[in-house]
Amino acid sequence: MATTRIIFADDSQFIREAYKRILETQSHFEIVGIAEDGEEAVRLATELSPDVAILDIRMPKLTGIEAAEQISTANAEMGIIIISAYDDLNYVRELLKNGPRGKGYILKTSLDDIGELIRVVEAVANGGTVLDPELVQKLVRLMVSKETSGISDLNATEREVYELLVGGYEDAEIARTLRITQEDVKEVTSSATSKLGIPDAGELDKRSQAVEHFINRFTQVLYESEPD
Amino acid sequence: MESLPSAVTQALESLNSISADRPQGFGFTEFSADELAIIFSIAQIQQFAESEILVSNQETTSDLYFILQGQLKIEIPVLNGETKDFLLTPGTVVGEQSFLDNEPRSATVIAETSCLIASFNESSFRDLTRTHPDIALRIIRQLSRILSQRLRRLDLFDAAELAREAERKRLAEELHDETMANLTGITMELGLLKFNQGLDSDALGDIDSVTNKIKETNLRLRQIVRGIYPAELVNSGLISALTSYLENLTSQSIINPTELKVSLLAEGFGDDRLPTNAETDIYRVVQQAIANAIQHAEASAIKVQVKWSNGECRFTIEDDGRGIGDINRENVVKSGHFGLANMRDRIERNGGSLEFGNSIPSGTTLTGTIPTANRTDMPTITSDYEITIANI
Repeated sequence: MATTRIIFADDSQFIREAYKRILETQSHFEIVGIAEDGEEAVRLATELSPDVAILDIRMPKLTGIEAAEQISTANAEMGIIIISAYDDLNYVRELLKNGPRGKGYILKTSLDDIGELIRVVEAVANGGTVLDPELVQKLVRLMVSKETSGISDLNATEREVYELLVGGYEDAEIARTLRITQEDVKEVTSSATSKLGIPDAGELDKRSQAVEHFINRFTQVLYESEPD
Repeated sequence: MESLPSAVTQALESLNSISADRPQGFGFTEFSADELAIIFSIAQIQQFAESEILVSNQETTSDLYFILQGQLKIEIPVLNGETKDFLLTPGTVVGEQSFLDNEPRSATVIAETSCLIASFNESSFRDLTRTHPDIALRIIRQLSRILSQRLRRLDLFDAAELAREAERKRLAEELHDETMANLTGITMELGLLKFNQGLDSDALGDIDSVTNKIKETNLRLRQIVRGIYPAELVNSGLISALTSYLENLTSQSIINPTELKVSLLAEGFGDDRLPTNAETDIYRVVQQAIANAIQHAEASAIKVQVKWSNGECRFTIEDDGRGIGDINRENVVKSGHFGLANMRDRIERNGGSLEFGNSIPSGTTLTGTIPTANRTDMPTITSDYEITIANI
């Protein structure tokens, strides 16, 4: 497996130490830089061109969101994971506004699941989009409450599959989580995407289409234009 | 020259050495002996026995009192029948507010000791303005100075309140950025322990149990921090902070007696932010209004609207609860509604106004406006949020 070069930035020493020890357990991860504030994160990202930058959202000098914007402007290919204590949808919108490719938004409460953190780093390094499952559930609930969103047409299984798809899970992981077969996952995915009006653009694009659809929807839900 | 009773002359002489530079202190030294004789010749001089009541709160009298001898106790009603008390001594003036504005009395005045008091009624003072306009004007100036000093103290109080808000914010940030971050770091390390070692199921269970305790502590801390100063108010502004407050109503220690539907409609904000103080004060007022609606009015639906148009930010909080009833809406303090008075203060110190009314068919409506600078671009986007909280 190719080595994934990583920088991370957090103003808490406890958290920096925890990242270091967690990421070091993976032989295919290489920590190339550690920053204590947003400016240092941008400088390290520019100098070292890592594959993935993990950024705390609240840091001195530059917030994680501001640092992410500067990093993305300079290098659109770099994977960025925002670690946040806030399930504030505006932040998600900010992070994804230049495209969801290689972006992750994870809540701090999910960090004690080490396997989850490693999965997210791997997915974002491969250009995937990962939103925290808790956040996705909240967003989907919000969308269902708006009758226009189309998501209310999905049955329970379709909704779960959609949530996991948007959460960046692979088919095998979805199958394991929901205790169904991978064939079932494919079937449910295609019924869900057709109900949502997501164009069938082939297997590869399915996931990013779902994410894009999701982002468009939630942006709509967040900011509906005034009717008059 | 009319002669004053000797007790008054004696009292006035002893006042000559007392500085007016204290709360409610009247500048007797500003007036000559002749002028004082003129002033006190139109006064009614009365002796009050200890514990005798001169003025009752809410009564509609307007006499002005000077303490010549003895002490008066002022009782200003605060919360739930409690009063804020203080003593006034010779050389001070009492009752100037109702004397000047003819509003009902806002405190009770009781003789703490036996007292010699000079009182002026409105019509005798009006006579003085005709016979000795210069003296009358200087009395009014003295009363204005007393009121003005009180206003200055209130401004200081406001400044102290702002400082307290800043302190709350700093405390919340410290808890959030240090203590809570450390707890997160510890749960990550615990996760690592679990992930790394070949532990038996008992040990794994123990790690899970400790992890959950730390996570619960962190969640509780998060609620506390939100109460002290919501992070969203710093990070992303009023509307995010209000949305988040509504989302977290279920985890608040507010008891919901009924199922509750809360909606928030925001217009004209976009990514623009109101001045920090205005954001904080509107947030606190909406928070207080919602808490009141839930706790006191037992509302089942609350509608919050915040609209930022050019030149002002207007907000309304409407509920279908029991309503605030027949209170004196012009003067909520006098009706003993200090929560409402505090809300009004918060808005008025931003140059705005806050009105209370009864909703139809039932409930309370609060409407507030705060003037804002004109903006070149007015965002037209709205955000609409609704949450239903089940009976818990």
